[in-house]
Amino acid sequence: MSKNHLGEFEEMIMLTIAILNNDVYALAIIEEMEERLKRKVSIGSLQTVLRRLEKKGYLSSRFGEATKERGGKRKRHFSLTAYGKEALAQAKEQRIGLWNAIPELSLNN
Amino acid sequence: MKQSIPKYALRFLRWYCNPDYLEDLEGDITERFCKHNEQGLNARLLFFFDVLRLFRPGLIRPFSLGARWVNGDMMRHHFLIGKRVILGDKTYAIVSIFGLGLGFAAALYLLTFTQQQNSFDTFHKNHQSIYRITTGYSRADEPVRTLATSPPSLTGIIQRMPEVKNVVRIFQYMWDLTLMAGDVKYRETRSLFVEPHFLDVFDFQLIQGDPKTCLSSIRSIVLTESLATKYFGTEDPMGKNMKIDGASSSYEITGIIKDPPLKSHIQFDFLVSYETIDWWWEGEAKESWNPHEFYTYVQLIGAANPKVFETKLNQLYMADQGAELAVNGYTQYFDTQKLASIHLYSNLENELLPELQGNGRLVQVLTGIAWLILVIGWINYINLSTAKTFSRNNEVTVRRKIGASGNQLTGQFLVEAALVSCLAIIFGLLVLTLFVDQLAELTGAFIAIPTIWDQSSFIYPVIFMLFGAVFSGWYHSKGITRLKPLNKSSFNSSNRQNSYSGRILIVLQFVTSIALIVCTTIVYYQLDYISKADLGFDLNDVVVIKGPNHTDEDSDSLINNHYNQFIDGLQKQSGVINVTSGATTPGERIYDAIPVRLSDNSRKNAQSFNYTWVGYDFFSTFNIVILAGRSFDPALDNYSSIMINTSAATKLGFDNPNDAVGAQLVIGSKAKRIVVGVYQDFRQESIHREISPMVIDLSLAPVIYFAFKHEGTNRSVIEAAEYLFAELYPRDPFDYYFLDEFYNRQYAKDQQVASISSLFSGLAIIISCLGLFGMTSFNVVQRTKEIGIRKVLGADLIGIIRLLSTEYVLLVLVSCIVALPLSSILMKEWLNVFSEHIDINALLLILPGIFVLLLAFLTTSLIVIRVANANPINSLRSE
Repeated sequence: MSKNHLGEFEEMIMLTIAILNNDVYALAIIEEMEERLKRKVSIGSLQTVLRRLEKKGYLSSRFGEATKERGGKRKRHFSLTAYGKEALAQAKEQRIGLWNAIPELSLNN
Repeated sequence: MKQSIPKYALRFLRWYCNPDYLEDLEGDITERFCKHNEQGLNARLLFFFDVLRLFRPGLIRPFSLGARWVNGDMMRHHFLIGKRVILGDKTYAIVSIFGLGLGFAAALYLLTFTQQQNSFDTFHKNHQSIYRITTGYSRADEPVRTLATSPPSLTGIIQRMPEVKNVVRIFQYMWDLTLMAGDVKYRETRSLFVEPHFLDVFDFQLIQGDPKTCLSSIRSIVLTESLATKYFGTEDPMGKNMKIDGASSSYEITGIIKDPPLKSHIQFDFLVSYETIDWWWEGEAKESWNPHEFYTYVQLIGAANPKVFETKLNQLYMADQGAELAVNGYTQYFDTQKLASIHLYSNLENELLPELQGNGRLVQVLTGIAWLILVIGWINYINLSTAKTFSRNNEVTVRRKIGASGNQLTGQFLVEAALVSCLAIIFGLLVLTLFVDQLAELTGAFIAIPTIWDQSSFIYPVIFMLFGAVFSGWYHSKGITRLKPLNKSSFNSSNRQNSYSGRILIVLQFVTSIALIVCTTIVYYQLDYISKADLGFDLNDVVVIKGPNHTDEDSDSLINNHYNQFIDGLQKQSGVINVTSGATTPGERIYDAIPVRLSDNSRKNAQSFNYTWVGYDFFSTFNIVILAGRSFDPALDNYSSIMINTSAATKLGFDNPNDAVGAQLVIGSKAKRIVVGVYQDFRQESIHREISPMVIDLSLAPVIYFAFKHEGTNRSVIEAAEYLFAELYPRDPFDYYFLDEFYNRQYAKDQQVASISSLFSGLAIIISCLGLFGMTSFNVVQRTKEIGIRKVLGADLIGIIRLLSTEYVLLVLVSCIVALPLSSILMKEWLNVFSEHIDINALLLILPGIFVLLLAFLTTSLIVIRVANANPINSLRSE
């Protein structure tokens, strides 16, 4: 297993961040994911995973403005780092490699 | 509709959430809340769910008890200071460890005892669905008698009910049985005749034999392990034969069973199949409606409600037997008792082993006392260490100046309290280990060290000790952090506040100990009263020999011949005054209640009287006064004479005993008897019970006991009796006892109450005095300077003692006023158990009060006199 292994949920989150063209905050990620993947995402698990990814160096974050609807709390915007992009690319390659290795017969039935 | 964020949910989030995440999460869910609000959803509720959903590991902040003081260096420092505090003031250390430790030991012991009592019969796997059927009956307008037994025929009805899984009948043989294996023979007292289901319903462990069949056939017998060893040693007893009461038929050993656990209200030495008793009694054991002899236990199917079962049973019974009851003028009904509640809360007639029955009330009171003692112990410690804390004001001030936080101060006190309570636990365990045997003897409870280690009883006091340590640590630090550093004047005001709560604590302690002492005094007075009470007969110098067990094979002439030889032989011994025989010695329960009426009355008017039979010379052997008529006389009486006691005479309607002489009675259904004498009521049973009306028949057989009165204790008479007995009754072992010992065994439980209450009142007073000692010494230290000044100005010794002691003596007085009525109410209830009892008089209440008052005064004087005698120069110079 490669050192930069990404979990499925981690990968989805990073891809969503990429889709939204970086600099996104948690609720936006959730909305996008729920819309595209038709799956429920909880704030708690998203936040923990975001932190984990940041700790691993795949994401970077910056604080945004405090807004009224957030009760005076600041938004935290996440972006992919170069290292994160590399990890995503690697994950994609691995998948494609796996797909290509499948003999055609086994998928046709 | 505009909603606002639920504050409590938000506060909860802020409390538990890891601060690293808090800002983001709070922002997220607040934003979501606004959105939901705009969409017109129930945003508050959704917000609430959000908060709950976020309460999960990973987002919850790390909780620890003020993580700041739990670090190595700080801990080491706390321990060091704690050690110094303890070693530096030995009196303080000894008083607090001693007090706490004693309290802990006492509470642990008591709780072990009460827990053991509470867990009786719970070792049966199905104990929650097993019930005993009890009987209530009365004839005509007599009061209802409640029996632990029930008629064996009832089982026929029970078996037809769908909610019953199993029903088992048990018969306890009233008298001893002599078991014989080869030449080995002993009398056995605890035999049970049980149905085969017995081993299904109850979880007594069968070691050898088949649980399905070992009790199903006639004349099969199951021995307990200890009995097997007693008769067969190391041999395998399975399949061997034994004889009962010397009869020719033999009984096969079909199983070996573990001795029943101590925590069982069903106790036995051996089991015999139920078919056997049915055979002995010619069908009576299955068909009889007599409610006095048999026990019925039912196991209901899991969901069945016992109350519903009970009602249904009574309905079915009335449908079956109602007409019969009406003819005889009886009412009869049945109740159920939960198996596990029988030991403590059942107090009916015919209990299986009345002397082993527990006392639920006592257990409740003892549990209360146990916790009270623990609480008192802690109150003392807190009082004492509060006093100590204030004398450490300087130390605390310096700490705070250096920058110790409130948490760190709490930590300091916590560690100290924990240290003291650990030492106290160790001390308490030490005391218990050393004295557990003496305690067990004193309280009559079978508690051993392994039982105390039993975690379930061990855990609560230990938790309580730790809780106490935390509480007192917190209490002190709260007290001391309220003080302003370097401000001595606020120290004094807070001190006064503290001694106010201290006063309440002292009153509480003394209320407890005075109440306990009053209770103990009353218990002892009552026991003394019992021992001096007039029993109506003389139990001194009477030896009782257990009678021979005749069998059907013995001819009547042989039995009579042996009987006369034995009586005559004993009578010839020097020192023997009188010899008699009979069925139930005084001190034994009479289970036979027999309907008795005057011969010209109808059957419906019969009343239940106790019934027993005796040989000649019964009344002279026991020195029972004959009020009218005469005693049984071999020259005048045949078997149609009877004697009655005064209660019976009154019940039959004779105001003057003389009128009763010559009256014709019908005993049972048709036996006719003529009253030849009326004897004065005597206490067949202990003073706990009212004297019942009783009739005594004349009969020389069967002999359950021989009794003789002799002059002085003379071993040789007993040896001669043994020799004679062995010659005449070679099949029976010789057993004898002294009547006074036997009779007084009825008071064993009261003796137990007495020793328990004296032990714990002693303990309570010791602990309370320790507390008082601590408070006084604290108070005195605070006022050293004041005392010095007073002395310089000319106060005398008495004046200073008065100054310092008055307050405490007043406190104890207040405690007296609270405690005395309290204990008198409590003891009235206890005394009501006895049919004759002392009245609680003022003296009984006041004497213990004065005793405690003196003791309290002495305790305070111990310190006060020292201070009052000290040279004022020393105290004034010290700063």
